[in-house]
Amino acid sequence: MSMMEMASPSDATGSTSVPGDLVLVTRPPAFGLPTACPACLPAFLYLRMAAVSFQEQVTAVEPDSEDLPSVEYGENVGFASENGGVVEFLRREKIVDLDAGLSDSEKAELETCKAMMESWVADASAYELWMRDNDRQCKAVYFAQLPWGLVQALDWKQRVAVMQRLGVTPENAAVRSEELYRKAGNAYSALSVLLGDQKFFFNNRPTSLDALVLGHLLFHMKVPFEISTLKGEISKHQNLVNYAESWSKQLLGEDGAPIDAAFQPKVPPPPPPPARAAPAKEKEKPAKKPRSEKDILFKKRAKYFVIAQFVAVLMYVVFAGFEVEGDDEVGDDDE
Amino acid sequence: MDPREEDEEVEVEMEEDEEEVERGEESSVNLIKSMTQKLATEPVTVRVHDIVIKGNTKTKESVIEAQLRELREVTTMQELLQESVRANARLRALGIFDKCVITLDAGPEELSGTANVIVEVEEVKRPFSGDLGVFSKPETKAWTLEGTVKYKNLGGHAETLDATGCYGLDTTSELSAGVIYPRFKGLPASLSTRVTLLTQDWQRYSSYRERLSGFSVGLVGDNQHDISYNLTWRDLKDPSRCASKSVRRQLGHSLLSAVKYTYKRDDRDSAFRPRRGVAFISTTQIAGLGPDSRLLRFARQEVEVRLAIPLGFANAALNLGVAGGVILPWGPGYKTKPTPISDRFYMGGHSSLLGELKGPSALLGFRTRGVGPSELRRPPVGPTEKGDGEVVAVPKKDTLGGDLAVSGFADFSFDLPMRFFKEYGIHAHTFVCAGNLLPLTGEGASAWSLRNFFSGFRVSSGAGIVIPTKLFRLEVNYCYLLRYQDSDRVKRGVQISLNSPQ
Repeated sequence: MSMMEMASPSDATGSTSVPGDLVLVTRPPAFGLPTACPACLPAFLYLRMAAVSFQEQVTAVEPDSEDLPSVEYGENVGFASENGGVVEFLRREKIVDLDAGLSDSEKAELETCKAMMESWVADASAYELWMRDNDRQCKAVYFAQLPWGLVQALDWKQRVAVMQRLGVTPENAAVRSEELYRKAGNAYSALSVLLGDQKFFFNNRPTSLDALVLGHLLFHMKVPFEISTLKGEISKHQNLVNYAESWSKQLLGEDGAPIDAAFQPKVPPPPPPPARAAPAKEKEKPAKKPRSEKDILFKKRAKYFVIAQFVAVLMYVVFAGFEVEGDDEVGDDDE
Repeated sequence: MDPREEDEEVEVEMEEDEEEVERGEESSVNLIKSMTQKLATEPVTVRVHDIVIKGNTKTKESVIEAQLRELREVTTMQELLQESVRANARLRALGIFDKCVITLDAGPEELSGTANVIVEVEEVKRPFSGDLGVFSKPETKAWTLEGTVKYKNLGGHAETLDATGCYGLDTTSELSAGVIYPRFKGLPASLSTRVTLLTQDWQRYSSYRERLSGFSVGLVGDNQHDISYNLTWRDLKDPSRCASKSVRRQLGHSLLSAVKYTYKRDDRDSAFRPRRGVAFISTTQIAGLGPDSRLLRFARQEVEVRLAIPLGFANAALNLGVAGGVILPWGPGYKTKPTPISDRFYMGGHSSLLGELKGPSALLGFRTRGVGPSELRRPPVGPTEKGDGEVVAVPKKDTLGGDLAVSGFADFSFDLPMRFFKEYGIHAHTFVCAGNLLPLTGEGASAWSLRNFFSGFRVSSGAGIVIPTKLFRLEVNYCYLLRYQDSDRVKRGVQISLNSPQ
């Protein structure tokens, strides 16, 4: 699917889209980023690169949800935590697929790089974000809209979970962090070589890898961490820095500059009509048809049988003088 | 008249809720006769001079005194006797005494017309108690297993420490612990504090599961008033990932800091089968107390009035009830902010029309949470990809609840003409009930008018048999729907509802 063929006259994201068409649900914006969540930013950039018009919906009270980012398309929803995530959902619903048209060898390379981004780089990124020294930035990313008390509790809970996942304990923090940063550094070197001085990683056109890498680079370059080892690592590769900065201008339209014409959003195809379009009554019937008259009669009889039994038991309870003491016997009747 | 003239010791023993008037020494039948006659015919003035409490080892004297406060205000012997009976009942209700005897003695000789009250108690030897039971929750249509362990009077303040665990298959689990101080600081109310951990599953009706961890403190009045503060951390999740859009927007964490005040009055002659009297309940809740603007902010009010009118034949009575409720957000952006889904009003289900007084919720002929605004759930990922027309499954919906709810009913109950039924209180009734709810906030709140609201009322009628037992009220009803909407989940025909009163 080629997505640069047209530029709709809209100038702001989602302004022309029909409500309910395509909605991206993300965590709230901060630090000049449209969403300050390292998981949501790549999805946002993916849709921007695909020049698809979408509405943004911010949810600020789910810092521990793995479902974000999610994409809503009519009644259908693609959650990040589900098979393939948002990108796979967009492909399945035939909204956009940036990776279509890549050759097999390119696809292999793309998958390898994505795997590297999602493991080595993502781990190092999570470590840096959740380390104690960057507490203030982390809170701005995840807990900005939560009331006092919940912030502290959730922050603690999440931090423990992240550090446990990364295998970082107070004793091994130094060794483990060095390893995490080394792997991330290696990944940056590999990406830097792959990118060279091209505009995109493959064929001068955006792919899901571009969205993933850009999201990561922009997050670490823009968020003013107290300790930002990764920013230092990134700045060792000038082509990555240039790549991030130029695309940030074109895709996010910073400093008053408009979004690049090639990425002006266009309205996605309308979603399939919801299932309710057909009258509900007609739908109920086919589901019920397989039940034969006999079945229905049997079920009815079974129901009445149960009721009769219940009534019989009840009659017994009432008439056989079965006295239930109830609340009266709160253990005070021993003389 | 001076009771001292008789040189008489009156002992009121209420072991079996009876009064025994005994004479200490050699008593003459005449003296008793004249005494009782005097008490029966004219007021005998008396004043309580002193209250002596005996037998309490652990329990603080002030706790017992708080239960005896009314005794100090009596002016006649008759009142003193009545109040003694009441005080004894109250002391027993504390559940910390095995035995409790109130003796009325003559006051000091130099003060005529006075009496001394001697309270002898015996504290329980075993302060532990436990309960285990299976309960039915008509509103969620679920059965739960509940267990409670209580420890009474640990600090001598007649307080009850209790820990409760409750488990319902796939639906609810609750752990809570609390302390209750009866007649706290001399107030006619008990102080109750409670820590609760509750998981409630609404996936079947509205695709979400809520986890509540909270703390509440309340003053529960002896009769009509009840005020409480609640601080609860709410976490709404959708583990099935099939929630509709409106429910998805509600997911996440929130903090509730709210004060709730309930005023309740029930002058009806019976909770099971009211035939005369009026009952009224009003509950006001203000949430968002605290300096943090990110707390849940809303105000919720519900009112219910019930009236029972005797008809004068066949034990017949007409019960009328009207209930209404409204919830609105406040603070900046209150016009667009949706109200929390857990605090909205829902209707339908198996609760009886004459059950607990709890605002607009009962509407027979509809399934649990079966009435009102609803939204299509997210379609399952699988079948949409297959054929176009061959989608077999009926699209499921989430009930969203309403911000404004009004319901009413009329119930006519009468005795059946058979002695056998009369003996056991089994009677018949016919009823008509109506109700509607609608959203005022959020996305679902399109323009609404009062006229639309009233024309959208659901109406059902029916008749049935009521079997009152000691523990619950059982109704077997046949429901006939007069008005409903396509989106409602209805339940025609025979319905069984089980209700515990109040």
